[in-house]
Amino acid sequence: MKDFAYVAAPDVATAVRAAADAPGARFLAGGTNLVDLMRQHVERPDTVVDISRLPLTSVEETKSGGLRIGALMRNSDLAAHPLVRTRYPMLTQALLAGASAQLRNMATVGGNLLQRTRCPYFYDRATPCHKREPGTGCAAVGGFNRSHAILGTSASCVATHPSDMCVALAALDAVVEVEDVRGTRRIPLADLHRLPGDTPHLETTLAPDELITSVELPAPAAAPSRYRKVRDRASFAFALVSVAAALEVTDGTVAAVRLALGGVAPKPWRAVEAERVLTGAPATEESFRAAADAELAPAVTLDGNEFKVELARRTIVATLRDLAREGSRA
Amino acid sequence: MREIEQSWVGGSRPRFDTAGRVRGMIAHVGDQAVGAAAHVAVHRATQPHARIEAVHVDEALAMPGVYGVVTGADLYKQLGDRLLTGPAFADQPALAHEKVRYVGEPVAAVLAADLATARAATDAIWVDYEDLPPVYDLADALAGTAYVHDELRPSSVFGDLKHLRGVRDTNVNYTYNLRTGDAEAARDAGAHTVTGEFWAPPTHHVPIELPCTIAWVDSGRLEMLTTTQTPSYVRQTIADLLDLPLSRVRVTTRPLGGSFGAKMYDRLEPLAAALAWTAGRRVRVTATREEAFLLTTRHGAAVSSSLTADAEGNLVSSVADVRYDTGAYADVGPRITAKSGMVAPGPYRIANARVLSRCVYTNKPSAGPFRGFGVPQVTWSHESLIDELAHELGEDPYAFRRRHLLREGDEAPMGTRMHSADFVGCLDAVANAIGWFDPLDRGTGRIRRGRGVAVGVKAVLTPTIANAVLQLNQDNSATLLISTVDMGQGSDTIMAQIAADVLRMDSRRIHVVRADTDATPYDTITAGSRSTYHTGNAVRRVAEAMRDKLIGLAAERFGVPAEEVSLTPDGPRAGSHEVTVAELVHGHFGARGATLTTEANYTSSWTPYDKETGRSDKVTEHWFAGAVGARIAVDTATGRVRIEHLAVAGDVGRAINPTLVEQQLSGAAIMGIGHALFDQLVLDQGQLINGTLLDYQLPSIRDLPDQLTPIVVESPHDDGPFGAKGVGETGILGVAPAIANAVRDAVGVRLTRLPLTPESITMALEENQ
Ligand SMILES: Cc1cc2nc3c(=O)[nH]c(=O)nc-3n(C[C@H](O)[C@H](O)[C@H](O)COP(=O)(O)OP(=O)(O)OC[C@H]3O[C@@H](n4cnc5c(N)ncnc54)[C@H](O)[C@@H]3O)c2cc1C
Ligand code: SF4
Repeated sequence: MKDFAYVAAPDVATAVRAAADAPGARFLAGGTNLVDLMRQHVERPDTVVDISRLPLTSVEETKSGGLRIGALMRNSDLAAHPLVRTRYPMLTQALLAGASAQLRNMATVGGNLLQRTRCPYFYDRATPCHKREPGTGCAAVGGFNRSHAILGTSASCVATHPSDMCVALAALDAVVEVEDVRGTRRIPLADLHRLPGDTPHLETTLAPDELITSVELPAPAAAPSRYRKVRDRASFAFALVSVAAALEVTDGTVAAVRLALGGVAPKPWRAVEAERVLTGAPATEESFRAAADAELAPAVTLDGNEFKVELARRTIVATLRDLAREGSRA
Repeated sequence: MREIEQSWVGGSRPRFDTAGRVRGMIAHVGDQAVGAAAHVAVHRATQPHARIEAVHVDEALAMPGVYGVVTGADLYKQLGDRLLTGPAFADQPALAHEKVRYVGEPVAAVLAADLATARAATDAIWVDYEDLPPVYDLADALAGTAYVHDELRPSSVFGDLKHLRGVRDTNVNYTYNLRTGDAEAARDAGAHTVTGEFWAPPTHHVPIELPCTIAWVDSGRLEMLTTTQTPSYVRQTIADLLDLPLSRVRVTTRPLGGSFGAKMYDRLEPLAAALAWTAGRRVRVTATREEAFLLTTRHGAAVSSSLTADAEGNLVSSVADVRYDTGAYADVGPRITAKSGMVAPGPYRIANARVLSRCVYTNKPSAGPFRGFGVPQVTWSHESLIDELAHELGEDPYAFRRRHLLREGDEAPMGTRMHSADFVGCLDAVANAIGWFDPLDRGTGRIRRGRGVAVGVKAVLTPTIANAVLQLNQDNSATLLISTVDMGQGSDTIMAQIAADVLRMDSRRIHVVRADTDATPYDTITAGSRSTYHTGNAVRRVAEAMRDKLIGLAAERFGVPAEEVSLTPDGPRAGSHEVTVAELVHGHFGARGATLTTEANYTSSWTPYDKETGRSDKVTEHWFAGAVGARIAVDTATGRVRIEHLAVAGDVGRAINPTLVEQQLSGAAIMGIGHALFDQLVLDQGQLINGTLLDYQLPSIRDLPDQLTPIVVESPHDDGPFGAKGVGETGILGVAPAIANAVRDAVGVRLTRLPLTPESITMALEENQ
């Protein structure tokens, strides 16, 4: 690991000031991703601003009936929070599907939002990677790409965004609040992450010195919801495909649906096309299949990840089918 | 049963080390204080196949805390061709010399004041390479346009490899041929033939404990403490490497935290010895988890095979072309190629068999021994084929196998007879356990259920040598000196049970000394499930010699003939005469604290197989027989397999300690689940892609079966100690095919490539629709 300057920030003002003063600085939250990347020399910041002690660790109810979640809240605390468990069970399920108990005890909301891809070539400095070193190429396209994306990719980069939590947040229409020395702003989650295009090293719409302070969830919907993750082993593995879904059925017709996908795209993927097809359609197997097909129609596959189209289709259909059944029972 | 009898043969006495292992009270090699030592880190090759033009070490040497940097060329200058070591071929240098042959091969070693400095300095080393055409896989290797080694260099260990010396222009370092009858003609004339292209990928052992070697020079002797299963072998290797008499090399061990074949033969030891000797310093060599993935692997293997039945359903022909990818260095690959090739037809009565089994070099991390010694890869082929043949004939796969399985006294296709190998008993046991004969709720929706069975056969490593020395202390406690390494399998416990049973004493009063080549006698290796039988026999004999000695002393003391004396837990008895062992030994020496000593040897023998036909009337000392039954559920939406019940049976001859046997069977079955559904090393252009515990998908605790049933089958071996044989590998042989056969039963697709990933199942379902 390269030497770096270390600033421990007691409050938000100090943190954003330190970041503004030291271009290329990185915020250190739980450190579960950043420290690994620094040890691999993929991240080489000159300054590390430790934000782990910032008092941004609470969950508050908002006036509109939603929740505001502090950015430094640990993943395990968030998953266990009574308001989250009861009103946004999908978020709890997504958090608990991720990593391991030890990691969740360290990982924070902000760090989870900004965690970087798990593309193995991104971690391996001996191979070309546009994301790590723009202009060098992409080793994954002709290489081992079983875990890579099928939607929203470009010729430059086919990496996935690996987060489980973010998929639930995308389905829930979360809004991210950020702050820097200039002030604060709110970014809908859908606009936080970028698609790779020909600049895969630019992953978000944040400025380098902007600090995420909280995440806001709108009031919960009553519809049954679920986070379903398909992976190689039953714990401690990233998603091959994951689905966050909420489905409201009235008189056999889809009244409202939220659907987001993980493991298949460079960002948490809100399945807008599928939602469009489903809304107002009969809540049947055929509609579910048509919705999945519509969402996956633009999929572009590589040698190793062709299976993800079929796996995603089946996981979407199965999840919606389960939710429809659950709704009709209620 | 009296308490003392629980500690004898057949008793389930707890392992002596359980508490220590669980509480971390047993110090492993890496836990030992080393004192002042140079810490070693290794600079590794970035190219799969390249000539080394220059190694730039100046920048690293200039770093504060760096004592020295050593390259392959430096070592070659001092050691010459002795730098090249290996069990079958002397082909592997401790540091790459002239050429690198895989990404990750050690090129230069840094010796520094601490490990962090050593590691940092490896990043400051630069190597100029001239790239050579890489041999990435079996197809490249067999195409024969580029060669990983310029010529074959058989080591002096195995005499039967001599004829390969100097052979050039090939990547095939060993070929085993089995020819029984005319298998091709029988296949062509047969009524029903099934064929398959099977693949089992390279995998890694992933023992919990990482390897570590500490080496130093003391009074002109090279001494080391190391994580090895093969201390006697390592002593010989180091003596050869440094050109020292065996008496000037000492190899000591501690209990291992798992190994499964990962800590055998030439791992960190040659490098540590060469550095300690040439630098005249104490050195400590370790590997990170990521480096450990590169040290040794299980052979990836391709098997193209067929199985033929005649119109009456008799098996008439088995043909198999087996290719083991041994990576950059042969290690023990040639042995694996022969020992596994000869059982490629499976444990069946088949009139005609033809096997071509080859060991092939590629530019990959080297493959070596791994629990099962290559046999699971061929079991994957024969147990899939016979299952498919049963389906084709419309027969029940269990009953079809049962009809054809080898029985006691039957001759296997390679010419050796079966004894103490109860395949039928094992198969029946697992079939019963998973409810083969009961109705099954197969499911109608997304979840579909199925059942599968598989049988496995493996030969024990033969010939091998075991020795034991026993010291009976005056207080009727004992010290047993053997070179078997306890790595969690419980050998120290069962060896004590064998000796105690003979001597009618409490096995908890017997201490088994950790292998130390200065003190414990020669033992071929702790591997291949050979120790219970071989070392167990040496221990039985050494205890019998002690019993005879005690009885002789007692007879003298009682003034009766020896035949009238018997040994009881309370001491020797003859009619009304009685004496305790303590009194007897004290009386004999007339001094306190003396010991009686005996020694014994056990050596197994074989008839080498014929070069042309691969046949032998005694190719092995004995056989392992096992069977696996699986009841599974396939989620047809996601392709995930859930194992509802896995039953694994092994014929162990006689269980010295039934609980330990069950643990071996269960542990092997769990490892086998990894190979069936999860494990594989992924290499892209020679570069290991998933060499971390996150990316290498070992099964997690949640992936284990809902129910796991180990079953001990006992058909005593005439020459085993108390009828016993080993069991370390029996449980793993048939796991993957049993699960794949259950998938076939559940959803009708036959998969031939491991692991059975969710996508391979969904894709196959797609194609079937
Ligand atoms: C072995 C392993 C397995 C894993 N498995 C999963 C899994 O299955 N599913 C899953 O979703 N995740 C998984 N993860 C990833 C894990 O969820 C992330 O590492 C974690 O969420 C990151 O949080 P952190 O607080 O530790 O972030 P850090 O490592 O501290 O930071 C990550 C990045 O975010 C930035 N950052 C952090 N907080 C802020 C903030 N408030 N404002 C601005 N920038 C910020 C940092 O500068 C850094 O660039 C796994 C990780 C590991 C190591
Ligand atoms: S997919 Fe993206 S992250 Fe992976 S190698 Fe290509 S550019 Fe790099």
